[in-house]
Amino acid sequence: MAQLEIKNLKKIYPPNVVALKDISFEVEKGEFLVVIGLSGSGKSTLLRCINRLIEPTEGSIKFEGREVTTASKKELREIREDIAMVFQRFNLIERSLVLTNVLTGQLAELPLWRSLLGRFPKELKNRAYERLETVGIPEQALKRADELSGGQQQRVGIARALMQDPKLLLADEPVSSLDPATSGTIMDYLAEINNQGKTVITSLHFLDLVRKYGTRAIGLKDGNIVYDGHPKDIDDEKFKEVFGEEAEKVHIT
Amino acid sequence: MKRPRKFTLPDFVDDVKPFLLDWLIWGYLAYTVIFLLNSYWYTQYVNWYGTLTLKPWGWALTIIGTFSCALLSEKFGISVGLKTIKSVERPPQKAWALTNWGITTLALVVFTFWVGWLTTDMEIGVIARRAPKTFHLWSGLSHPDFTHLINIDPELEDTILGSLIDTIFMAYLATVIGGILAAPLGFLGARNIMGGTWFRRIIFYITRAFFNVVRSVEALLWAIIFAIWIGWGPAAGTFALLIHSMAALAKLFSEQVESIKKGPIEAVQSTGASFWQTVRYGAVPQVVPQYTAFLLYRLDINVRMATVIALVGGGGIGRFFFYYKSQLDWNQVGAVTIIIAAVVWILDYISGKAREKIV
Repeated sequence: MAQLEIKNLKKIYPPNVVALKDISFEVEKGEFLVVIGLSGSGKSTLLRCINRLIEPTEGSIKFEGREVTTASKKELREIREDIAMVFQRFNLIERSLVLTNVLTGQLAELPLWRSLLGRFPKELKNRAYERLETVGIPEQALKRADELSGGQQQRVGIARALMQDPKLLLADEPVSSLDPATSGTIMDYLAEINNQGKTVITSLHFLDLVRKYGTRAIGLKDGNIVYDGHPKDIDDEKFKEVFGEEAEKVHIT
Repeated sequence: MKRPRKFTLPDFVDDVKPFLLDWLIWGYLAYTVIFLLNSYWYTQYVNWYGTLTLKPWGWALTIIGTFSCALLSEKFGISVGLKTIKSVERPPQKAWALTNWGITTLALVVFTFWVGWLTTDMEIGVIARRAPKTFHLWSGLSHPDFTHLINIDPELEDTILGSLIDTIFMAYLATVIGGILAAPLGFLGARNIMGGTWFRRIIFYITRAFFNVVRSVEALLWAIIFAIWIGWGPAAGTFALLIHSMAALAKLFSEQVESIKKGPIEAVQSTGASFWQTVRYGAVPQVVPQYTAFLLYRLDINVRMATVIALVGGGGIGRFFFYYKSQLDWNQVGAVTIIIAAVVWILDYISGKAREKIV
């Protein structure tokens, strides 16, 4: 049984914008899956359907044998504990400390009253520091998140995701708002996480990154899968099929 | 598949809304025209104290007339309703005021101003003509009498300074308690937080209705209510300010909550956090600075309001103002006015500086 099974997934935004038409694929444990496609091709929607930040319209998503689409609120929270997410715009709580941002990663493990009062046990704080060390910025822990540079903020985002100790990491265009050098560092962290046996699903724009890091690529176009295979096998023709007229632009960068 | 049901209005409502708004506008224009006719023509030439009473067929005519105007306005592209509700794009290369909607809107503004001017008996000349009447006021202000600043006034059994401190405490208590009560109301009255399910939607509407009703009753009226309820004095004034602050702050807070960024909320949700954990870690940190700024601003307003509330028995420094005024003791009125102005100015300055630092 694959870790993630998506069958006939469909998403229609009211009133009638079809974002995903009929998506089916499976992801094995330990894969580094890259979703490619133009803006508006449904990448973000697909990733957000997996942890149901966006409600799918039809179809089934099974994560480790549990149905996500019909999960009750409690079940969904349990599923989400195992699926971490990293965002394009980092989505940190900007006015909170870096440490607090990382700690939000494991809110689900805390009893409600304790989390509402902000009383995190020592053990969790130590874990948060460890995660910040993993991404190389332990010295920033007591700064406000919005004082950090873009690359550092994304590292905090990754540390927050790692705090969950996830089985699957979703990264929605994690490097799209970063410069090329920083992008490489961030991708290296994702690769490292992947090497530790965690599945990574990410959406990317740049083909060289896709080739360097992905073990598998899925091309999305107008809500359909137009490519599914090894990133190395994407030739110019395939690439044009996925990206259409924009192909050359993307190739250069 | 089961998922939360969203609350939506039936589709035809969206089509009817612009038309109803147009009808309302045309009806209103008809009213202003009748009003102006009344004011300039009818009262002079027909019956100088009379009003224009519409014959039964006049009413029918107005209704049918405005109805058809509303119908036609969509056809000729002068529908303000369509413009506001369906946000129709305006033709390019044309100044806003020259578009058909622009002309209609300008007509509305001009006619309203005209009718308003007549209704409120506005007159420029009277300002100059009656200026000498205020002489004793100005002379009082320029020769303030500070005798009772620290000496007890036997009539009022207090000093100006003492009652000033009362006033500030009233404002402070009202702001603190009102702010504490308003914080949860701000969340319960925010569409984005409470829009998810039917149950939350109902709470949202109840909360909104509650603070909108409370807010629309002026603090002065609340002071009258509380003066009757718990008796004259600073406590009544504090309650009045408190209730009004709570509603006004809740309104501001809820708007603030509605404008929070979705990203951090998504991020917290995606970790498996519950609804209230998401509110605590995703939403609250985003609104705290603005909350604090609003509180400071409100404290400022409350001090100003607390001075007026004495008029209806709310206690505080206003008591001195209204008492001296009733005694025509203009020099003491001047002293109180200067004190109030100074305190308001200082507070305004401090809270302004503090707000700059926070936001």
